[in-house]
Amino acid sequence: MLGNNIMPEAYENIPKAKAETKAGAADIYEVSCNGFDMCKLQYYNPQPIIGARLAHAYVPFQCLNCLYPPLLGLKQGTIFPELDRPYGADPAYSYDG
Amino acid sequence: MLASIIEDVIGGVCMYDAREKMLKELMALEFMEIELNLYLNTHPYDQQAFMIFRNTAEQAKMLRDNYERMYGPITASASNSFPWPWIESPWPWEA
Repeated sequence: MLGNNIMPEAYENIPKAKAETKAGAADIYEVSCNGFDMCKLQYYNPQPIIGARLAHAYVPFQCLNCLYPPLLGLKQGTIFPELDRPYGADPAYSYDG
Repeated sequence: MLASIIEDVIGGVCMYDAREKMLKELMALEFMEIELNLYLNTHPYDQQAFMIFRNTAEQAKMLRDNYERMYGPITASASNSFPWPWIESPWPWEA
C-alpha cells in the first residue's frame, strides 16, 4: 500500500483489523464515501489515498513507471507519461478546453 | 547509407538537416537528464532512476562531444580552438 510509507498517521482513523488488508481498507473507503461518485473526484489517480484525514491536503507520491523516449519527452514537455496532461485534453480539468 | 553521406557532403541543405537532427537529439537527451534530475531530487534512493540518469547523462555527453567535434561549440565555454569559433556556429534562432 503506497500511502503507508508516506503518511503513516493517515491510518489512525481506520480500525486496525480492517485496515490490515487492502480489501479491508478499500471496504472502509467505499463505505465512508457512500453517496459520492469518487471516480469523478480522482481524475488521474486510480489508487485513492486510503484513510486520508479530512481537511488535510495530500499530494500522491510519484513512482517510477515507464518513461517516454527522449525525443517524445521533449515534444510532450515531460518524460513521465503519468504527468503528460496537456491543457484541454481532459474537459473536466479545463474551463475552455 | 552512402547516398545519405554524399548528400550530407554535397548539399548544404541536407547537411543542415543532419546537423539539426543531431542537435535535436542532444536537446532531447539533455531534457531527459533534467527531468531525471528533478525526479531524483525527491527520490534520492531510487536506484533504477539513478541508473537511467547516469545512462542518459553519458549518452548526452557522448553526443555533445561528437556534435562539437563536427559542428563547433555549443556553449562559449567549449570554444577551445583559435581563432575564436563561437561566432561561426549558428545563432539560436538560426539553429
